[in-house]
Amino acid sequence: MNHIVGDLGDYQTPRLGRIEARTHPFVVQHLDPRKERSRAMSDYAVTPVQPIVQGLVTIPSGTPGGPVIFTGKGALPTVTRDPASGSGQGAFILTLDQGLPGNAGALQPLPDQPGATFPAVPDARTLVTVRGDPNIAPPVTTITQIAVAYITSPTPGVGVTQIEIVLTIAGVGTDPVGTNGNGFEVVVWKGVESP
Amino acid sequence: MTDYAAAPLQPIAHGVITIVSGNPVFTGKGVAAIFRGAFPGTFLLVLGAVATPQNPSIVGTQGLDPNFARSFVTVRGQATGGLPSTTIDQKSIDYPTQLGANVSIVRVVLVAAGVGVDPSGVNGNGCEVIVWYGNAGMPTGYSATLVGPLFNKPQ
Repeated sequence: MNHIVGDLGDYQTPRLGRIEARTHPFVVQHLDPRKERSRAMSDYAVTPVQPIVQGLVTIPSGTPGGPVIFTGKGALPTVTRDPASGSGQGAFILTLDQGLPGNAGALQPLPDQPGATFPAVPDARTLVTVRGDPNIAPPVTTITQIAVAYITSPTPGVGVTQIEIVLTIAGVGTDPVGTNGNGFEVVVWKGVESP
Repeated sequence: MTDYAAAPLQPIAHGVITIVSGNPVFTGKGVAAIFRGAFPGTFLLVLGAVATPQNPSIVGTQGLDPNFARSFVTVRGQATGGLPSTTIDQKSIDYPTQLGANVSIVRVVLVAAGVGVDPSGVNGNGCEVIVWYGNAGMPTGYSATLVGPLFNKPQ
């Protein structure tokens, strides 16, 4: 287990709040809410957006069901597929990269309040945009449904280490290749939950 | 802010909408209350007008100029077992106009196959919402010049 300390930082002082620092394999520290704002932020903002993951997921072979890669920062290059997808397509699991500054490799799985279990993963925010097929005009995508889910590590004391993105057409898992699209962009950042 | 950025992205509200016992609940920052709209799958988020130490957003009583409102919605996949997918195939945002043409309400609409649905059960497991102000930033030192409220049209 690497002892990676993440930070949200800000524009002036880059090491303010921890996202989730694992100083010990079973001890997890979360962002200190008192440090989430900085003088560089506008007064109306509740928190800055500084992604812990941003990149592009593609299937270089262009073949549905083919190997998937992540190009960007914050996640490992190898993307796995969820076998629960009956079609064998459309369900992609990104693994957070715990080796990067600003990303401790895990998100908080439950609210801060003792005993609280709702909502799960209260502060994860993910944005997904499918790229259209450039070979057709207009370059649209046929994918109609996009969902995200968060996978908690089975290791006690470790938070959410994987993010799943599910792309479907009428409920059928579909890869964003060919006429269905040309990969997808993904951004993940950590919000701050309510007190 | 980097010199190539057009504007900082600093949310005035962000969080997760979940359905508990049939009622919508918002967990996050910047939203003072959540209500159902007139149809299933329609939710009204009331932006907080008063800042508190735990919830520092200051939209103010004048609300937000809708021309500069920017929102994102991401549905969380169903947690009923199996593939965490969603049936929701249409998502939209609008800002109901209020007196004075400013807004303090963000309306989120979720639809599956043409019918409004809640993001619960097979339809999903809540949805993430981010609202930010799209006109932040100045050529020289936005932090020194941007002071709320955000709605600053001539009255």
